[in-house]
Amino acid sequence: MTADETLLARWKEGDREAGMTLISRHYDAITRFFQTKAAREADDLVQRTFLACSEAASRYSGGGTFRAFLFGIARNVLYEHIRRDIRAGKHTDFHALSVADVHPGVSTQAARRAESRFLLRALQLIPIESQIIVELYYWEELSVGELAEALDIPPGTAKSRLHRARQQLKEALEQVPEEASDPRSARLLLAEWLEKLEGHDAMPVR
Amino acid sequence: MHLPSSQPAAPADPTVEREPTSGLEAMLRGVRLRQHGGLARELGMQLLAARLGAAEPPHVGRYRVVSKLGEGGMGVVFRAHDPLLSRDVALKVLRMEGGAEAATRMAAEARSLAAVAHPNVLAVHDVGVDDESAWIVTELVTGGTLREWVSAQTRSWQSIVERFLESARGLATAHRMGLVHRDFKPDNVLIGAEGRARVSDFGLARHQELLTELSAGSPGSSVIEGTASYLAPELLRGVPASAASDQYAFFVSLRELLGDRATGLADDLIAQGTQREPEARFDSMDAVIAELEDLLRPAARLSQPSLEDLVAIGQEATDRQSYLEAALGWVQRVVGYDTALLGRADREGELGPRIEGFEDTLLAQFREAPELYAPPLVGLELASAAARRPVTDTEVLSQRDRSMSAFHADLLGKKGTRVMAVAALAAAGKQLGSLQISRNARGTRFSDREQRLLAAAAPILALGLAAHEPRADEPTDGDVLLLRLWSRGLAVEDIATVTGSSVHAVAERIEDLCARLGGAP
Repeated sequence: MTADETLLARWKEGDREAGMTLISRHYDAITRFFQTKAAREADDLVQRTFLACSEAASRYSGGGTFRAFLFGIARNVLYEHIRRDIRAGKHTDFHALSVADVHPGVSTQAARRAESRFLLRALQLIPIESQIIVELYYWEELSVGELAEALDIPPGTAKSRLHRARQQLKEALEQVPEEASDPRSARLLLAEWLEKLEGHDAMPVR
Repeated sequence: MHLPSSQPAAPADPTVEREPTSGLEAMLRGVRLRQHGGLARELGMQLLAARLGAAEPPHVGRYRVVSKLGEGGMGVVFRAHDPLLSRDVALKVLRMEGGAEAATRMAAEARSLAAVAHPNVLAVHDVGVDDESAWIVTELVTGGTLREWVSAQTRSWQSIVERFLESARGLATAHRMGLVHRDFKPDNVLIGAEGRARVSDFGLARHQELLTELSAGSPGSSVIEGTASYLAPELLRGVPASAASDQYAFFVSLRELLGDRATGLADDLIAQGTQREPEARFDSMDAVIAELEDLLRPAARLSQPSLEDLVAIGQEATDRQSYLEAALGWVQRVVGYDTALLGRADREGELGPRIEGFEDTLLAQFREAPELYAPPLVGLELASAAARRPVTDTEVLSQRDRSMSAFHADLLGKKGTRVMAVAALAAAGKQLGSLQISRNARGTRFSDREQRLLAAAAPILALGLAAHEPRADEPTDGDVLLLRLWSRGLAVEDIATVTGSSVHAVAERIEDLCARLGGAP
């Protein structure tokens, strides 16, 4: 299989098929990335990410994986969007701000099951930077090294941020408000689910 | 340099040690997002690629996909171009998880839907199915959904009921053909650029359910989750969907979109349409149509009574009692107002708010057709001012004046409605708010014709006066109106005529009031 990097170079030279292949490889992951953070504008943001990617191709050093590079762009696109959206200043602190802060009442319809929605709500309560770290690591299976690249930080820092993000998520899970529309208590479902998942060190569920 | 290619599903870099799996981690990995698969995903991706110059615009059948319009529980809707008929259409790609069997069944039902040709049902042009996907081509309707239409600008209850009446006609036609909608809601009614409502997504909920059943490993029905509030109670008990459950959803939607615009009559219809037992609802959508038509009828008659009619009423009445009767008849005829309520001269303070509701409605309608709606608006304004209490609450009054000021500006700008503008000003002018009645305001005299017309609006004033029981020592609403009419130049004789009092009594009252308010007549 042709490497992403090669495809990117070929696309840059005018090989449309290479561009299409590259897009199709990463379309789902990038869509997921925005679905949980800015669902309503997701299509537009996905497009902006790929556009920025094709434009930034020459700046891509090839020092890391293409995926990390692409998620790095997606993160910038997201932050730019939020800054514009909430008219936040240049120094908006994405280590403090959560999706729930930015878009109160944000939809969690992206998740299929009630338990997943519950978890998604928790993810939207923690700082956006932490949400990104957790999602990229667990859903997109980026390595700590790739995470570091995408976030433009040293691997050691990435590791400690991942640890902190997980702590934040654990705490957030206990603060998630119940939704009236939940067919059953999501908390209960979550507890059952966790039991099934042989989770010895499951976080406490009330 | 050769880096390992990185697929979305690539295993994690084995050189970095992962922490042992915890419950939280297992849970995180268990999250599944709703992502479009199949054709919808393919089209979304190809549209993106086309925009980035990496591909040609995608085609489905003979249709060239132009852009994505939106997505909902049922699937993704694209704008597409039909080169054969040289027109734009809507292409709805449905979520497909049930394989070929489901697709075939869906196609069969879509065909029967295509047979429903009705102006209030979204026209189905074409259907396509293959092993992995199904799509429906319909007319392209660009005005948004009924929900969007209602929130786009101020809508009168009548115009909302009209859209529902149209929807009811669409539903009734489908019901007659044995088709049940199964998922009626404001989001499934599309409004065309010309303002006509079309019911869309007929029967799709059923397919969705079917697909869910047929597809292994997708627990829970997303359809039921999505639109639970419109579901008739019997459906939750497992009774199959029917015309009666569509009717329930119809009325839940009506109640939702009318909000506090709902009048007593609409409330009654909604109550019956949303009865718990299907048998207790209306017999059919045809019965609903008849009721809605009735509901709209008095409002439709607004085009009949004219200013001249009012003049006639005013001139024919010879005494207070006949004024009242004429006024009641007129009010009922013109605004469909609850005669009994007015006649009872409601003492619980219910009258004021209800008249206010009409005021808002009329204001909205007035903006659409000033010539038509000005007379009843003025009449109601008079009645409302007269019936509302306490009138000495200047804060309330100035608030109302503010809301009326836009109306006044509109009114004054319209040729031919100046007379009514004067009357409206007389009814809701700033003087009332501050109770600053002074002789200085007498500068403007009405022309004879204006006086005649103003007098004609007086049945409502008389009605208001009758509805209000004055307390001994404070100026009543009626008193204030009296003063205001007088201060705007209406002759004492005319005031006496329209209020059914003697000239002497009116003059005395005015003098008395002016003295108490610190002015001099």
